[in-house]
Order: sequence, then structure tokens, then C-alpha cells
Amino acid sequence: MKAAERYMLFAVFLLALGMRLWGLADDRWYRADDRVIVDAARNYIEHGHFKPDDWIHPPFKYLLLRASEMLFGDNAYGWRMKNVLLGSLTVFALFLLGRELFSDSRTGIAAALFLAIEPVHVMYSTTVYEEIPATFFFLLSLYFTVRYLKGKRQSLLPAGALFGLAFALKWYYPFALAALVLFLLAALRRDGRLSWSSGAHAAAALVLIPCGIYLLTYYPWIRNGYSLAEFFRMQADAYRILQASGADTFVSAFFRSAPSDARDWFIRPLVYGRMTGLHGTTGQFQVLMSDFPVWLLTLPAALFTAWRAFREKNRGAALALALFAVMYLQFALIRRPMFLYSAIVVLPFVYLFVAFFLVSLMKRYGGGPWSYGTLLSAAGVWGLYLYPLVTERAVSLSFYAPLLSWGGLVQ
Amino acid sequence: MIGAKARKRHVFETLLVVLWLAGVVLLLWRAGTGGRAVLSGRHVELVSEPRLALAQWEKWKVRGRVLFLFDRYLNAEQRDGPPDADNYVYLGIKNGMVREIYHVVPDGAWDEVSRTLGRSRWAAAPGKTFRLAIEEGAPVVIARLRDIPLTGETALVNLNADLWSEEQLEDIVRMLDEGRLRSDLVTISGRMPGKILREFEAWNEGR
Repeated sequence: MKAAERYMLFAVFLLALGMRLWGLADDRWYRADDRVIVDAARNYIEHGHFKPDDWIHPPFKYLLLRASEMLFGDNAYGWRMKNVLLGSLTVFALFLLGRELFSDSRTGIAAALFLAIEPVHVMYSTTVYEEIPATFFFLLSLYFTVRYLKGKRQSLLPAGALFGLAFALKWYYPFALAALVLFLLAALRRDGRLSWSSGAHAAAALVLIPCGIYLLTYYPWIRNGYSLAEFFRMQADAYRILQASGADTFVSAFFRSAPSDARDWFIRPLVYGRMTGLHGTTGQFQVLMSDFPVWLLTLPAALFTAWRAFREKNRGAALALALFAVMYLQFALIRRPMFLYSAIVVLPFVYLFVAFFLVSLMKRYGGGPWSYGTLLSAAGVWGLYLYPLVTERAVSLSFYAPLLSWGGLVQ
Repeated sequence: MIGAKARKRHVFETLLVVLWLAGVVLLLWRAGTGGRAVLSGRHVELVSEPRLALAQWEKWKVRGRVLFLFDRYLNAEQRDGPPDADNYVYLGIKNGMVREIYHVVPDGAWDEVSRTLGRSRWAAAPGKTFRLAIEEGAPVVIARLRDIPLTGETALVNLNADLWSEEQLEDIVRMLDEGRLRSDLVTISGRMPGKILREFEAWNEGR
């Protein structure tokens, strides 16, 4: 890695950290649930109970929040710093993964920058939502798995442990786990590295460790007298309830009418929200929006990546495509509403594909450092433009008029 | 092909993971069984209202238990504060005394109960029972007396005698006597025929 790339990566990381740290203790609409999770974390650790939160989601988020509180204090900073740090570090993890998958630092840096300024990721990196740490652990797990596939690592245990942490945060990953294990076994077979010992090792690392970590996070609940059989029935109950949930089950009126169909994510610009304050020529807004200039490139970029992966026999890229496909399809095909914040877990793949696509186009048409610099600058400027709007700060109505009127936020 | 060194490493790490997982399962099993406080012997407590069962559970320091509730309503309204007729079972869950409920509904109410639960998207209907999960993931199995699934675990019993015929009360006593439904603490409210009451009281004398 060249010195200039190191500096760029560091600058992207600092940008990510700064955008997530500024105004961390302020009240924002998307932080309204934080107090509920903070109280639930205490209740869970002391009594094994989930109130005032829902019991249907995995409880590792409470343990992580408690650890954050112990490190940074029992205040808004303490609650949210875990997401700030892990959200910012996700940018770095995405760079590592991108460089490993595409053997190209420029793709990794561009993907990292896209994620650093991504409105939804920025917003939820300043809350206690579990999508942020889950994505971080998942990406690192994938990085270690790809390194193992390439023969650069001898063990899958770190990958399994990190996958377990992601899995224990949110139910986004069972299909990804199945795809990952199948892909790994097929790749090992193709390389002549599949044997009973390597197969058992892969299964132990990627299935047993995540299951063990998931189980362990329920220790406080099980201490209330529950058996493992009751634990499995509870998981089945939670699944049934999640499947039966509709938009009407969400307490927040804002979310009840928010875009909730994952099939729209990458084919329509999504700008949703409402005005919360008007002060002369400026206004404040509750906004939930996609970074649509990038999101709309997802499908062509994924197709391009698939073509290149096939042509160059790039297994890492093929694995990323397979994981994106299974994770996105679960959102697209599920019956319950999927709000934009759930997209956080597939966005790293989106940004990898789009970055690879754009950087490849530049290379194809002779674009040098200037065109790459222009791409990064344009992305940075766009991200900084969106930042005050999506973080509920007062913005100039005229400066944001096209976006606001397009999203129906002002008449 | 993988070398002997890599194979050894794979085997070692696989065994390590299997042992670790076995340790996790053992730890959780011990935590689960250790979280239950069961009384020695059988105890019958007569209370004036069903909600006073909560005070008896507190008095006897039970923890992490299955409750067989013979009553019309579940009485698990999510409300903190002093226990009343509608929230005492919820408080039992919240305070760690009850972890699972078998709600036995009088036959006369079954049509209404099954109609309501049949329409609910939150309830599952395995066999002749319904299954719900309420606060804190606590499962509730709802059934008629004749369809109660028996767990084999020593349970708390809270019986609202006003809602059951003499014949049904005799059935309940028989279930308890024969050990088909094992209980260490039975709380009874409502009017109970003297003959049956004496059977219950004999338990206290014989303990």
C-alpha cells in the first residue's frame, strides 16, 4: 500500500469518525429508541428480562451496550460510542475486504468513502441500533474467510467468532452463513484442500462457534429457569411473531408510512420525511433517504462485477456477490416491512460493487489519478451536502429545494 | 492436498470448538436448572382471591417455575404497581417466579377463547392447544382441562375453584394425587366442596 493511499484511507476514517461524533449527545428523531434499549440492557443483565424492549430480537446488543457504558460512561456518549467506533471502523474493514477481493486499493478506498458518508449509516452509527456493529463483525469475518480461502490464513476460528458476534446481534445472517459454508467447501474441493479434517474444521468454525456465541448471549434469560428445549421453542415463537409483524405493529407513526419494501431500494430514489421546524429561510427535517446516486448503480455494478468475477475467476468477488444475493433476496422476499436501516447490512457489498465498477471504467478509459480524485471529491461533496439534512440540522430551504420538493418534504 | 501439519491443526481446532460448545451447553443447562427454586413436599394454600397467589409464591420463595393456571383469564396484563386481578401473573414473570404458563380454561369459555386465539396472528395452534409467547419470551400454552399437555416438571398450581364443576375439581385432585400433574405449591381461591377441600388439606397434614 502506497503512502498516499494510507493517507487517503486515514482521511476517510477521520471523516467517518467526525461525521459520527459531531452532536452525538443531541436529541434526534432517529435516536428516540435509544433510551428503551439502554433500560432494557440493564434489565436484561440484572434480571434476564427484555422490557421495555421487545424480547424477539437477539440480546447481544444489550451486552455490547453495557460494555460501551462501562468504557465511556452512563450517558449519551457511553451508549452511542460503540456504534460510532464500530461504524467508523467498518469503513476500514470495508477497505481491507475490498482490497482483498479485488486486489486493488483504489476500489477499497472508494468503497470506504462511499460508506463513510452514507446517510443511513451515518445516522444509525450515532444510535444504539445493532445493524452497525453487526455489519462490522460480519465484514471482518468475511475478510478473514477470504484470507483463508486464499491460503493466507491457516485457521477459520477468528472468522467464526466474528460471524457469531454478528449473528448474535440480528437475524440477518442465517442464509449468508449457509452460502458462506457451501461456498467455502466448494472452493476447498476445487483446490484439492477439502478433506474430512478441513471440512470438519470449517463446520466447527463457521457453524458451531456462531451457535455457541448465540446461545451464550441468552445466559441471563436462561438463568430464569429455562431449559435449552424452551430456548429453541422461544426462538420459534420469536420467528413466528416476526413473520406476522406488519407495518401496523410499529409504534412510530413516522415508520408506519416510511418506505418499507426492499425491492425499491436499488431501483428508485428514496427520499422520505417531514419538516419538524421552520425558522425563516431554514428548516429542520426528519429524513430517511437512500444515497440514490450510488444505490441506483447497484444492479449494473453487481452485473459488471459478476461478469468480471466469471472472466477472471475471482472467487472472492463471486463470494461477495453470492452473499449480497442471498442477503438482499431475504429482504426482498420477506413478507414483513423492511425499512431503510435494514439496508445497512447489504450496503458494504453495494459500495464494493459500485466502487469496482467505477474504478474499472476509469481504468478502461484511461482515467488517471485526476479522474479518481474527481470521483472521490464528488462523492465527498455530495456526502457533506446531505449530512446536515439527514442529521436533522437546520438547512437552507433554497439550497436544498430540489431534494426537498422531490421528496415531498416541502410544497 | 493439505499437509499433515495443517491436518493436525484442523483436528486440534475442531476438537477445541466441540469441547467449548459442550462447555457452553453444560453451563447453560446448569444456569437453567439452578434458576429454579422448588419446595420440598406439597403445600396447599387457601387464598381469598386468585391474585393473592403472588404473595404465596413470594412467601415460599419460588423461582423460575412453570405455572398451571386454572382460571378464565391469563391475568398477565403488562402493568407494574401493586398486584391486582389482571396483572399478578405478569408480576410473577417479571419477578422471576414464573417462567412458563399452562393456562387451563373452563370448558364453558373455550369457544370464545379458541375463536379469539384462532383469529390472532400471534398465536400458534399445535393440536388442541394454543401457544402464545408473552412478555420476556414467556410461553403460554392454552388448553382445556381434558387436553392439558403435562410436562413432568413440578409446577405451581393456581386454581380458581369458582369456575370448575365438582367433577372437574375431582379430576384435578386426581391428576395431582396420581402425580400426572406434580406440584409443590397449590394455591386455591373460590368455593371448594368440603370433600375435595379435605383432600387438599390432607396434603398439608401429610407433608
